[in-house]
Amino acid sequence: MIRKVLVANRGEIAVRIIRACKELGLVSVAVFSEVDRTALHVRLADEAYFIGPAPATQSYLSIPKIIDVAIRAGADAVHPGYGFLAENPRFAQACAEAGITFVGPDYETIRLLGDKVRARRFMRRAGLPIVPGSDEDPGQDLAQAAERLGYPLFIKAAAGGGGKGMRFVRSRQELDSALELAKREAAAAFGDDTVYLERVVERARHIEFQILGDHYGNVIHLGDRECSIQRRHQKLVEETPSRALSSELRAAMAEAAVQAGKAAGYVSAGTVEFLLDENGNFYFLEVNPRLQVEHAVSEMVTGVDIVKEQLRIAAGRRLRYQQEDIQPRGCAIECRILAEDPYADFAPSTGVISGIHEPSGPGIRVESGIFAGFEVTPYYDSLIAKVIAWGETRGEAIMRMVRALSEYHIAGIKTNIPFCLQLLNSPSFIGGQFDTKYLEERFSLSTEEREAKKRIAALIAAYVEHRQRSEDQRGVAKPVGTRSVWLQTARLEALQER
Amino acid sequence: MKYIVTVEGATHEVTIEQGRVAVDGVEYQLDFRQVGLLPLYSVLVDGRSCAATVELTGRGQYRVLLEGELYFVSVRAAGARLAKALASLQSSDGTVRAPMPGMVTSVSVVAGQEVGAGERLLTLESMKMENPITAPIAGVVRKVYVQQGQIVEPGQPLVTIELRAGYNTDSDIPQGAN
Repeated sequence: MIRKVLVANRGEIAVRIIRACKELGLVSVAVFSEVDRTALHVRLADEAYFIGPAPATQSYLSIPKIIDVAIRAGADAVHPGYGFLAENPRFAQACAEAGITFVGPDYETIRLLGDKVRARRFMRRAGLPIVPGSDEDPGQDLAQAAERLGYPLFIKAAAGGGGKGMRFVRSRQELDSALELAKREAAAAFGDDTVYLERVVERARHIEFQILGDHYGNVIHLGDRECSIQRRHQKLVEETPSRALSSELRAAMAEAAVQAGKAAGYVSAGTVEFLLDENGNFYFLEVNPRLQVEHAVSEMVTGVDIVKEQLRIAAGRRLRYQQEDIQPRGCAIECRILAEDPYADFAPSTGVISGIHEPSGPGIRVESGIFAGFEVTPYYDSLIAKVIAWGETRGEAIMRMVRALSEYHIAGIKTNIPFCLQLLNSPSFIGGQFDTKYLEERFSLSTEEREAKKRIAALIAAYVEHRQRSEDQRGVAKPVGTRSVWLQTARLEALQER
Repeated sequence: MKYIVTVEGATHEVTIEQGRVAVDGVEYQLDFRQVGLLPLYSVLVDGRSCAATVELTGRGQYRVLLEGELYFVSVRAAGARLAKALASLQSSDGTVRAPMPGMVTSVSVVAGQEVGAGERLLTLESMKMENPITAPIAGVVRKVYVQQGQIVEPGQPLVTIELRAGYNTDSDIPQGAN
């Protein structure tokens, strides 16, 4: 039985989880760092507790602090969201030891899936196709394994994730120095310098399947997600269903995903990731034992509320769906809205959001943690919001997304919205012709339209200046002084909240 | 009125005169409406409809959000017309403030002196140009805050002029005095 849920996260995902708690009649508990006192998740939650300074290591990543708050608040469950402690087996274990339900798989499963070498071995035994790697023959030294696998190849950290300890190797000459670097990086990031080699699947797509498992051995899938649009191993645009899959291939991959979940005794929501090569061969990549950023696209086509399902499963309920109940309808696309400047090599953009207008209308869903007056700080991820568009067809979903993004006005900081718009309008994206290297190697941001727009921006600013000057001359009373109304309102609010 | 406008490093010349506007010599049809009291504007440029958020972040400094793209824009009045623009920037409480950073190259008035509207108070050199700072109203110079050779910041008080010398009570001030 769960009555009170601590949400060990911030931003849009904390808001998403608190909403699910409210819809289930559960009491929600937020935690916040120094800079998040007035954040949306704090204001929406029933209770909120301070957990420390802005740097995540001293707040959102502090296991003792979060467990302490959970106990003090009397929370009987903790939802970790994604990122931060979501895939940390020590956190899941600390929850279990404190008698608090961790909303996710048990810590042994997280530990197994987090160790790439163990996970690959486990899934190979479970009958899943695996990208050939050096770990298949632990007796062989890495140089020999490299000859057997063939170049180019990847060096990956066994404990890895997020591209850390990962190296691309083209030839034998590069191998030794790359190995050394990868080991050092892995040791620094994970405290474990174990690395292995993996064959590079060229022109691969990243396809993943959402799975749900309960405590009674039931595992179902909620269809695939196409996540090949990536930059520096970070997904940017995700959609479902993938255009690259025939119905036979989709069924085979879905079966493999469920097989993986069943073999691991998987409980809660998880994602089984695959690489798909040009010839329709697919390989198990990893299982993400948590809620995924892009979960909403699956929700849009299946009608299943994945977060509420996680909470029900955590409370010991049986899955409410059988596989045949899941009948995806239409197409859904998600764009991640990042506080990054696409014209300056995606440099982070921080500052106060002085004004905001969110898109709405048919088929549009916005998951966001930002508002006018919110300050984007350099402490956390640049993901500030997500826009999800649903359409009967992929074409409609794309057009809706383009429409929605052009309605989305975020003033005060730079965002990647112009980049997303250009990508969505590119023939390769519209035609579904892309792989995981498309964004970095073949897509380039055009600045042609920007030049025309700069001229209009010049005109508008000059006009506002001109009007202001003539008003000053005529002695017209200025209604708001020289400050932005939005900024002023935000400041007033900040004062009132103190 | 001519403005030199810098958008993200690129400089444009914007002319606004009698309802006609031009950027770099190319004329545009502009219909410009503020949405309520927000810094949000509905703009029709040659019929093209766009929403722009225009925020003043400093003197002549703007942040313009146009169709999802954010631009940092700086606007300054150009050349010969500068003096007129400067006059318009002076505040209405009788205190004339520096419209731009610069150096005071000469001061033409002293405290207690009567000045007519438009009369030169001092000269401010900025960006190698001499800018006469003139009296926005007729009156008596109550205070001169700066001296020759002094560097001033935008908004810094230069001279305070008391309205209509010789009249001490409100009732004595004629209607529509300035």
